[in-house]
Amino acid sequence: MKTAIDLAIGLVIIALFAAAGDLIVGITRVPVPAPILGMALFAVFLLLVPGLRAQVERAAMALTGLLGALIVPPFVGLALFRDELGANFGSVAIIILITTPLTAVVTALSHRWIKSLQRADSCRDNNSTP
Amino acid sequence: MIDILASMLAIILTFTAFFAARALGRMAASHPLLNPILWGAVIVGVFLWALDIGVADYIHAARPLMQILDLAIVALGFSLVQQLARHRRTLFPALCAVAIGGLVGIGSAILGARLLGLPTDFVQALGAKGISSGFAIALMERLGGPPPLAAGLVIITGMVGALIVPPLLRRLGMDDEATGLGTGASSHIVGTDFLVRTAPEAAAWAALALAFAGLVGAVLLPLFWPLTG
Repeated sequence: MKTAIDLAIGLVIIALFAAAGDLIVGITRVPVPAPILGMALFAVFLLLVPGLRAQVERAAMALTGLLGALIVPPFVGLALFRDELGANFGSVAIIILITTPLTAVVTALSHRWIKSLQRADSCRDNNSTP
Repeated sequence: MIDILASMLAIILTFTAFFAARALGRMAASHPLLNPILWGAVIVGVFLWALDIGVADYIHAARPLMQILDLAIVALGFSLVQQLARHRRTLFPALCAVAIGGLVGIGSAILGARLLGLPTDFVQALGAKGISSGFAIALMERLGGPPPLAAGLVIITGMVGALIVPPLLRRLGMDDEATGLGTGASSHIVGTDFLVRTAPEAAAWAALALAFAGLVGAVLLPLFWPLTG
């Protein structure tokens, strides 16, 4: 029973943040999608009120566990682009095959570079300390 | 009444197809090519073809799932907070690296698509290919791009990335942190799922990268949007 109540309360809290995202995007017309703004607000709220994390955990895990299934309908919709995809297959394949590893390598090398800068800084700080 | 019944059948079909595909994938050690979203969609497609139901009719009937998708995206905030708490001490370089990777990923995809003369809807969808599907769909709906094309290209990107990115980064001598961040930022949930089974330490970083890359994409893609048309 407690599990069901926790789940229901968690779902209501998440729905409130989804509604808050909708409201803010509707009023301000910022180009950010309402659910992503809702997610950012929800994350900030959980950081500010850590005690609430246990309360929403069950509902959040249940919803994120459904994420894959929820993406199936838009993926099926890819069939609506069948002819266009066939006509542009080569160009699309080239872009995916080049830019995917490029993004990965740039991210990994940037991480290595920023960490090395941080290490150099901390060494300098240690050496300058009398 | 008929609409409600059609929606219920579409939802049952979607969940049955997805969870059947996931169970089959697990039996084959979850190879990246056995993505449950891809094969779930194939099962749905075969079912629609056999019953002579149009894809557009199915998508219309499955609209309630898109509302649950919005809630699932908000719920990802919980996972993001968990990852932030876990990696608190080493967060700064990781978040900077994902932001730089996101900038290069979105910029290079849009530039490449424009140089190769692709139609506008392809340029828009490719701009979102490095962002996890839920975020990409929400972004397309908000910015006026094609959500199905973006969702499809995101999943294909994830499968390609899961196959080539982790071995490439290891060959370049990257540690778990950098491999996870690079995989999560470029190949999102499919790449992360692959690392969960092959390199759990790297997978935790990939999970952080994929959540943060979604936020980076939500900020950057609207800025790049005028270049897609």
